[in-house]
Amino acid sequence: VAPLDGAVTRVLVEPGALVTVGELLIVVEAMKMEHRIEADVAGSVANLSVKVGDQVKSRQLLCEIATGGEV
Amino acid sequence: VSQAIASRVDTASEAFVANKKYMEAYVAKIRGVEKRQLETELSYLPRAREKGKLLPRERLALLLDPGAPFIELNSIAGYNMFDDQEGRYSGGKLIAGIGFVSRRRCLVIVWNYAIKGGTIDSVNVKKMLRLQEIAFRQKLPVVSLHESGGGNLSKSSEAMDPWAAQLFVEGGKIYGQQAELSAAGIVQITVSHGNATAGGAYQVALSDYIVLVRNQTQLFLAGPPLLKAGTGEEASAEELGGAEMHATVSGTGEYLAEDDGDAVRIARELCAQLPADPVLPHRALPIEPPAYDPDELIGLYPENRRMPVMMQEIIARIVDGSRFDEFNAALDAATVCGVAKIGGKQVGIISNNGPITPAGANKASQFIQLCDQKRTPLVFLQNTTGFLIGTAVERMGQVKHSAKLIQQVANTKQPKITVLVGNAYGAGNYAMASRALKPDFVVAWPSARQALMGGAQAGQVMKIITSIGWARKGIEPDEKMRAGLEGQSKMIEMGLEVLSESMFCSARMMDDGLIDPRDTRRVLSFLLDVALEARRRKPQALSYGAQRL
Repeated sequence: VAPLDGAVTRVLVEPGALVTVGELLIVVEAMKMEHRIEADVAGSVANLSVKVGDQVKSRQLLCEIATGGEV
Repeated sequence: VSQAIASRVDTASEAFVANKKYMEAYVAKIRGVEKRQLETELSYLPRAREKGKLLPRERLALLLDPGAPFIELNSIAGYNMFDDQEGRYSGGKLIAGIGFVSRRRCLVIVWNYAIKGGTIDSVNVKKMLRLQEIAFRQKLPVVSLHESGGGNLSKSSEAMDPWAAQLFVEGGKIYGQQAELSAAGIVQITVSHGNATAGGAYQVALSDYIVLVRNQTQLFLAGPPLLKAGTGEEASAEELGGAEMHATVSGTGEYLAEDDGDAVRIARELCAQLPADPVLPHRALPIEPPAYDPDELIGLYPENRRMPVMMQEIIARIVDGSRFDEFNAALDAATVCGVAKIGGKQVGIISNNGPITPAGANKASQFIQLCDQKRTPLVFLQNTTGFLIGTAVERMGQVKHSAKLIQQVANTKQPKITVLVGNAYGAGNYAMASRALKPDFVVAWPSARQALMGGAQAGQVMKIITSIGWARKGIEPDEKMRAGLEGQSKMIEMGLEVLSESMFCSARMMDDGLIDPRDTRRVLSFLLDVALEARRRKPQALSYGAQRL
C-alpha cells in the first residue's frame, strides 16, 4: 500500500516471486524522500499493479502477498 | 512511561560504514577550513613576538579557565566569501564563543588581528551582531580582547557597496547595542590590546571596564594619517591615544597592564568580581550516559538524502540512558515528539521521520503546549523535507495547521535549541525552529541542507511554469528553446544544491556553527545549561548604562 501520493521509482519483485519478511518490494518517491515498501509477511507476490514511473495515490494498493497456504 | 529505545542499527553494516566514511570526510573538510584559518594566524607569530605581543589564540587560552568547556561559535563565518581563500581569512576576524573565565560563564570575543589586521567587514559585523544578541538573550557577561585595524575598505564587502556605506551604517548597530547591554546590566569587560581607531575606539569605550596595555594600546577617534589629512596637525600614535595617556590624562580606561599576559590576568580578576553563576538543580544528580555510544552518530546520516532516517536512532545516542518517552507515537509516526533528559535536564524533543502532516503538526503543537506548561525546554532535531502537499491534505487544512505549529514554536516561552541534522526544507524549516523562529541556538551537522525546496523540485517547477507560459502565448517551442529550458532548469537545480549546502550556509551564519555529529549530546547539554541559567540570572539594569565620568 502506498504511504502517500508519489511516483514509483523502483519495483524490485515480479508477480509470483517468493519474498521473505522485510524484503524490499517497491520504492515510492515523494516529498524528496524514498519510501520503501517492505513485505510484512512471507509469501508470493500477487496482483502487482504498478510499474516504474506510475503515479500512485496515498493508500493505493500496489501489490499483495499470498501467504503459504495458497501457494 | 520512559522506555529505553532499542536500536536496530548494525555498526558493521555496509550502510553504516558508508555513512561514516561520508560524514568523517565532511567533518575533515570543515576542520580543514579551521586549520587554514589557524595557519594564517600562526604565520603572524614572528611579527607578534617582535612587538612583544601574543597571538589571538594565545590570549584566548590565557583568558579561559583551564580544563573548562568552551564552545566556539560561527568558526567558519565568511568561508569562501569575498576575498577568502578556502578559509585562510575566514572567521570574521573574531574567535568567539561561550566559556568560563574565573568560573563565570561568559561570552568571549577575541579579535583576530593576525588576519588582515582584524579589520571590520560585513562578515565581522554580522557575527558581532549575532554575538551581542546571544549576550542579551542569555544574559552573559562579555569579555573582549580587542585589537582591530578598523573598517576594511577593500574587497571584503558587498559588491554594491564599494565604499562600505551600508556597512558603516549597519556596523553602527554594534555600538548602540553595546550601550543597551550596559544599561541592561550585562557587563562588558574589554582589553584594548592594540589598534582601536574610530569605530574600534567606540567598541572599547562603550565597555564597562577597559584594560589598557602599555606601549600597545592606540585608542583614538582619528589616527595620525587622518589627523594630518583633516587638520594638518602632526602627532604620534602614542601621543594621540597611547595607554599611558589614557590612564593618566584622558581617563579612557581604568586599568593599565604591562603586557598582553598581564592585561588578560586583570580581565580574569574583573570577572571574578561578577556575581556567581546560578546553580541549576540537576547538577546535584548523577548523570546517566546514553545506552548507545554517541560516537555512533557519525554513521547514521546517509549521503543519499532521499533515504529515510529513523530519528529515534539518533535520539538514542543523545539522551540519558537512551530513554525516550514518546508522545502519541501511534498517531502520526512521521512527526516524532517525546520527553527525555540530556545531561540531567528534562527536554521535549521534536523530530521528523517523514513529511509533516496536519495530524503531525497538531501533535507537535499540543506537545509544545504541554512542555510550556511544565517549563520544559525544547530541542528540535530537524530532518524535514517539509509539510506534506496534495489535495487531500489541503482539504484537511494543511495551511491552517502548519501555520498553527509556527505560532506555537515562535511563541513558546521555553528555551529552544535546534540541531539541523539533515533536510531543512520549505516551511518545515521554519516550523522546526531554524533561525527564522529565533531559537536560542541553532547548530548544524555537515549533512544539513537549508532551502525553500529541493534543487530538483525547483528545476522541475521552473520547467512547468515556462511550458505553461509558452502554451498560453501559443508559442510552439523548438529544439533550441527546449534545450535552453532544460539547461536553465539544471542550473537552478545545481544552484540550489550549492546554496543549501551546510558550509555555504554556515559561512553566512544561517546557524551558530557546524558541529561534529559525535559532539551533539555534549553541545546540547552545554547550550541547555546556558539557556536555563539565563532564566535565573538577574542583571541589575541601569537607565543609561555605566558611564565613564
